[in-house]
Parts: sequence; C-alpha cells; structure tokens
Amino acid sequence: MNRVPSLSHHLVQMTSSRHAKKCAFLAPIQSCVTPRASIGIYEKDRRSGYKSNVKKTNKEIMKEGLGLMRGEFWKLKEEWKHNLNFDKFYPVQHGDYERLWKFDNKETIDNFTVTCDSNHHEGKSQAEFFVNEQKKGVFRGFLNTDVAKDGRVKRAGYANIKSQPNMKSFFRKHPYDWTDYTHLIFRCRGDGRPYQLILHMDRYFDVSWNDTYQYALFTRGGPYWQTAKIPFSKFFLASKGRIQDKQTPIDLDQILSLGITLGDRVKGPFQLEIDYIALLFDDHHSQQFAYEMYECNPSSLY
Amino acid sequence: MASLQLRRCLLCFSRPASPFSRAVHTSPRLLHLMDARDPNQEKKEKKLIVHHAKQYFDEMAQKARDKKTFIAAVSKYLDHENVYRRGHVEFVYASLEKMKEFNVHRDLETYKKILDLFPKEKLKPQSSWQAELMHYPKQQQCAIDLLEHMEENGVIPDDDMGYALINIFSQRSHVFRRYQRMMYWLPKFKHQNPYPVPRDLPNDNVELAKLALARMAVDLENEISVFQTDDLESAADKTFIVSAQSQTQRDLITSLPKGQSVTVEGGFITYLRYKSFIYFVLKAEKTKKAKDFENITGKRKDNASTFWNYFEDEQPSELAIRPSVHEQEDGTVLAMCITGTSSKDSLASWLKYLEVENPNLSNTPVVFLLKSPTEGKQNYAEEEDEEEEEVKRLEEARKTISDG
Repeated sequence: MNRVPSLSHHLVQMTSSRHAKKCAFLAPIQSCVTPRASIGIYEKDRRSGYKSNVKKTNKEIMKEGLGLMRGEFWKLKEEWKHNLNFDKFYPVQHGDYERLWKFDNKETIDNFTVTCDSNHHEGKSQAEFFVNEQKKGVFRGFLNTDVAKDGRVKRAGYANIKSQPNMKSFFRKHPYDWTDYTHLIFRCRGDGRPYQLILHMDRYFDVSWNDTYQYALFTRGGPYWQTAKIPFSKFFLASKGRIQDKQTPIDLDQILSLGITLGDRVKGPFQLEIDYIALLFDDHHSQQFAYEMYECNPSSLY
Repeated sequence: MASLQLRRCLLCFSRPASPFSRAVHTSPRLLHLMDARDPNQEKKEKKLIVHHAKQYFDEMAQKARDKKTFIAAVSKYLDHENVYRRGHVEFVYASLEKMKEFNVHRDLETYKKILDLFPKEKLKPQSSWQAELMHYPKQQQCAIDLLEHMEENGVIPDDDMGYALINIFSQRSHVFRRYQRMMYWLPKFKHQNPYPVPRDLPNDNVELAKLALARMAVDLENEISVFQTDDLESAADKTFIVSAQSQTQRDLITSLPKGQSVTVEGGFITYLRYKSFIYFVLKAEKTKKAKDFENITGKRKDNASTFWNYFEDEQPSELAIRPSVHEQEDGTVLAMCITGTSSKDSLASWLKYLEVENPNLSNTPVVFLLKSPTEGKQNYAEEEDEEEEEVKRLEEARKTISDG
C-alpha cells in the first residue's frame, strides 16, 4: 500500500468540506465510502468505523459531563499552579530516566484499555490486564487465530493493551514530549513470544490519523525477569498495520499513547508480566534512525 | 485440410489464422457451436482440475501428506494445463490453503513451484498506464496474496523468485513492488530477536525441550541434562526429563537453611516460535542476601525515579553483596525442567535425579504447587463454545427468515 502524498490529499479534503453543504452533488461521495475496507484517500472518522457499542441518550451524556466538571476544574487549577511556579529547566543528563508507568496499583492499570478481535466480532481471542499479588501488571489471555466465517474477515488473532491518550483538563489532548530521551525501558517477564510495541502519533491530516511507530518487544520466556532497552531510532512508521514505504524518524513530541500488541499468529494462551515502563537518556546512542533514508529510484511514482 | 482453412465462421465471418491454431471462439454467442461440435463439452469442463482443486489435493494425498506429494500434485496440474493454464488463479489459492496440511508452508521451494503456475510474458504490461492501473488485477492480487502467505509463515523470498516475478509480471508490476518491500524489510527483522530460535525446529521432543530450557536459562554456566525414567524403578511414568541447573544454583541449594522447604511450581508455558512447552521450576524463598540488597538499592531507586531529585548524591550509605541472577524478587530459582508427560510423578522422578548432584535436597521438604498452565484462561474455552452456539442460533434464525 502506498502512502498518498499529504499535499494532494489536503486539497481533496478542503474541497469536500468547503463545498459539501453548497454542492449537493458532492455529498454522495462521502457516503459511498465504506468505513472499514476503504483503501482510498478519504477517512470518515478517526476510528475507521470501529465504534463503541455503548449508546447513550443526550440526557445521560449531559449528566455524565456535568459530573466530570468538578474534577476537570481541579485539574485546571493544578495546571495553572504548575505554570505559575516557573519550574527551572535542567538538561537531562546521561543515564537519567523517568518512569512512565509502574504497574503496582489498579489506577495505572485502569489507565490502559484492553482490546482484542472479539470486541468487534472479528475473532475469538480473549485478554485481560490486572495487578497480581506480587504487584506486577499481568497481560494475559488466549490468542485465537480461528477466522470467523462471515466472508469479510481474512485473518484473526490479536490482543492489545493501550494507554489512554494524555489529556490536559477538559479533555484537551496533550501529546507526550519524549524528545529528551533516547530509549524505552521495559522490565517484563514474558512467555517467549514476540510482542509489538506501538506508539500512536497525534497527527492532524486524515491520511496520517492511523500513523503509528512500531517495534517488537522480544521476550525470553521462563522465570527470570528481563529488562528490554529499546532505542526510539529503531521504531518504524506503519499505518493500519502496514509498514510504509516512505519512512521518517519518529517525532518524539507527538506521541499520543503507547500500546502493546500480541499478534504472532500462534494459537494459544499468552502471558506478559510488566513491572514498569520507563524512558532513558543514553548519551552514547547517536543513531537517529535505523533505516535507510535515501531514495533508490527518485523518478519512480511510488 | 485446405477446405478447413477456408471455412469461415458463420456468425462473425472470421477465419482461424492457421488450421493448426488452437484458438477457439469463446464468446457466449458462439458457445452453442462448440457444443454442437462436442456434445461432451459440459462433462469435460467439469473434469477440469480447477472445479475441484481442494478435493484434487486430497485425492493426490491418499498415500502421504508431504512435500513430495504436494509438488507432484502441482506438477500434474502444470502438465495437464500446460497450454491454457485454465483456472491457475483458483488453483494457486486452493494450493495456498492446502499448504499447511502438507507441512510445506515454511518451504521456499514449494512457493517457487506454485509461482511457476503463472504464464510467463503474457501478463506483462505494455505501457506505463497499464502498469500503474494494475494490469491483470486478479492474477497480480493472487501473486500478492502468495507473497503475503509467505510473509505470514516467515519465508523470505530469494533472488530467483524476483527474476521469476519479472518474467511473469515485469519489474513495474504491483507484485514486484511488494517483493521489493519484502526484500528490504524481512532480512532486517530476521535477526532482531536477542533470544534467537532456530528457523526450523527439530522434530525430537527431547531436543526441543533442550532448546526451550537453554533459551530460558539466564546463567551462562547453565548445564542441561537429560534423564530417562526407564532407569528409575519407582517411576510410574516412563518418559524423559530435561533438567537445567547451573553450579550457582547447586551452591544455593547447599546453602539452604536447615528446615526450609522448597517448592516445585508450574506448569508455566513458554514458546519457541509456534511450539509451546510446559515447564516447572524448583524454587525457594528469597534469600537474606537478596533481601538486604533490595533494601539498600530499593531506597536508591525511589530517589532516582522522581525526576527532580537526580542531583542528590547517590552514594549508598551501606554495602551489600550483589545476589546472583537466580535470586529473583519472587523467590530463588533453583532448577528448571520440562518432562514428557508434565505429571506429578515425573516431577518426583526429576527430584530424585537432582538429589544425585544436590545431596542437601534429600534433607529438604518439597512442596508441590502445581496448577494447570491455562489457569484463569479455561473459561475462555467455555466462552468460545457459547459463542459458537450463538453463531449457530443466528444462522438458524437467518435460515428461517430466508425460508419464510
């Protein structure tokens, strides 16, 4: 799949949104695109048609929203307190690290969403994420590769945990800024399967809504804990699960959320214990991007 | 023969280019003429391999389901359809579906053989417009699906396959672009795993267990020994035991305090590619050394984890000996094993073998903490059944609606 150049796409979007109300003949273009299977340029919504099954009435939404106000005002107050504090900036030094999540309490675990193919009736995998007695996060379940016979799904079998996007008060998106760091650190104990780390990007245009940076988290298996140190330079660009031809190094100030996926096409139970996820600055790591950036055939169309 | 050459078609007034030409009219208007020539045409059509490709593989595999039979089946189709290649797309899809049954889904040579089914030169685009607009889309999509099937099964194509693709679809085709992507990315990821597993796993269970234990063991001094319980009289299960233990772990057993019990925990699951194993661990409580070390380093950790305190001097006020890798947070790992049956009896035999090199173990009480490796996951199987029942119910409902 080729990535469509963003400029040309931009033009398409501008014309459709500006004139959609005036020109009736442009309206049907939007409706004829099927949300899930489209490979075209146009994206209808950010979730590509995967909608939550929970339906609420307007009254319920109002009630819920008003209930959230108090907490959000508190958050706003804290933010302003922090802003007015004028914290000094210290440069990050070699070896400094910052813990993003330590999975020893339920609140951190609740910050993560568990999804698998059975949530959308596209498979039969099951997964859960909880804290065990040793105060470690456990992501476990059963990966089922059986394809449902509905004639639409081609292959099945994935389980995923994903952190909530970082939000400021009143649900304003506030992407993480990890530009000071070079590595991701995982302290985990797996079952020998390769897991996939996914960094979701916060990008504006709809061609890039599904942009993610991915790399594998290989596990050893067995009773010993392992610490995986993964450089950000090794993360490659993918969209809708496909590696893209035109790669760019990751923008570390645009990261919306982090996810861990299992989808190694092996049917069976899985278990990944995670102690913490951290960021590290390693001064000796000079690599910007692990993949070649030259164009081998600049005149070609793709 | 001359009269045949001169005879023109009654409807379209065209004449075959040569009397030996195999070209026939296939326009639906003219099909009745063909029927008139050959009354058994319909029967012959049905005999084509394409219409029963999946059964065709089953028929071919009456003796054995292996690579040899699979290649023979594909070659037979190729001999049969050498000129027209009727239904080769359908046949490729059918053969991809059957590959796993014949255990050739990880074999590059077989994929090349399947790719050979596409006609050469015929599907090449003649202009750049044709190339961009996916010339012969069905055939190209089929070849792309073949490449994707390879990728899913961890097979990386080679140069020969690239030349074959150029011969069939040309260098400008979408199939070749996919091949180029695969040739760029797949070799990059091939050796990324820091805990490597051989590409082709051995068939012998003992060898597999050895590999699995060697991968899990962190200690470089780890030794793997294989026991056969046939030698033990007390063993009811006659099976194999593969055990992993290092000298450090033996020393840890020797230094166990008197009266302290050890536990056999398991079964846990570990994977080597597509194969899963159940392993058991001989464990003891956390040692004093590990606790002391944790107390000291734990304090330091808390300081370093908060971002603004990193200017604090991190020199510890106390000293402690670093514990070995086996002294984990949730206990000390004394040995690991994989047995042929994963039964309690085989584990008892394992302990007997361990006592030979660890005499202290015979004075130590052992507690078995065994559970099913899928504990907490069993309900998934039940849920699955429920789902299946629901699907059946839905299907029945649909049927009644369509009938009514």
